Amino acid sequence: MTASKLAGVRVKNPWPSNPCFCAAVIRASRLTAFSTHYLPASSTVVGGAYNCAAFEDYKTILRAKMAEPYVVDPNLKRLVNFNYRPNASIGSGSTAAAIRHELLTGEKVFAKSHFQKGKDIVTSLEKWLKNNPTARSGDRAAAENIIKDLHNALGE
Amino acid sequence: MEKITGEKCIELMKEVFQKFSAYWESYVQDFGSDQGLTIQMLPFCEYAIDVIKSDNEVEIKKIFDFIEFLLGNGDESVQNAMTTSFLEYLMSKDPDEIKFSKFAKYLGENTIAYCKAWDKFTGVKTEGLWETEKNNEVE
Repeated sequence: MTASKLAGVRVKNPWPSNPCFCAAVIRASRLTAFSTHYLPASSTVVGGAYNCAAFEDYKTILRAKMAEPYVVDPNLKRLVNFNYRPNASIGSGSTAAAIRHELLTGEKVFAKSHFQKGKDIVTSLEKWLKNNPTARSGDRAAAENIIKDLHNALGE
Repeated sequence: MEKITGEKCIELMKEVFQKFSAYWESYVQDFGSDQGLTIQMLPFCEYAIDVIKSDNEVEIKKIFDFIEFLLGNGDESVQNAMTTSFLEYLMSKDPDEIKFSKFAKYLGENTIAYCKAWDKFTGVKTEGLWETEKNNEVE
């Protein structure tokens, strides 16, 4: 099944046949199509591996819906602020949500793409994590979750 | 005319807005100078927000004339940074930190077009943006 069918959206397909892009589109479409995560019926016998994979999928969905996280570190706050638009109706208003929307619909904002911004935010947050190994655990978790969400959206 | 590159864009900012240099130095101290251009817009966003808060109309106009100039003369990376970083950041600060309606009249044609496209994309209606055409007609 194609990504467009999964998402129920008509795709204009402006992207080159790059496997990374395709993987990102499929991931994005799953996040859009299955708004609530579902597990097998309780009568189904499932193994630990399935549960781990399902839990990871569930966390990916939660990250994609994550509102702007509260952070204390002032420099991290500046970066996190940069990543969100309050009250947006495209996903959570994050850069990752904009990238997913661009991938799924082929629609860009005034011909400008959010890919570069997404990549730059990932680099900055990774640098912040490296330079702040003893930062508050909540701050580090927020940075890590934004990075994972952006990686997921960018197909990396 | 040769398109303005990212590096040249930062140099121009320091040259045109003398008080911006202090913001840039502080940013380099906190984040280093090796970040991508979209992140390098952060100190200019902070500078612009402080200017808007100070109600310095001459400087506000100068900032948005400069943005319009870069949207027309910057290379792809500069145009991307000005729109997806600078303009989006300013819009995200309305209405809590700054009022968009206060400076909407200084926005150039391309700047308004991007802001409107971003509003439509995100499903937000920024106060002051959609009335700009009407205001221009009255003026």
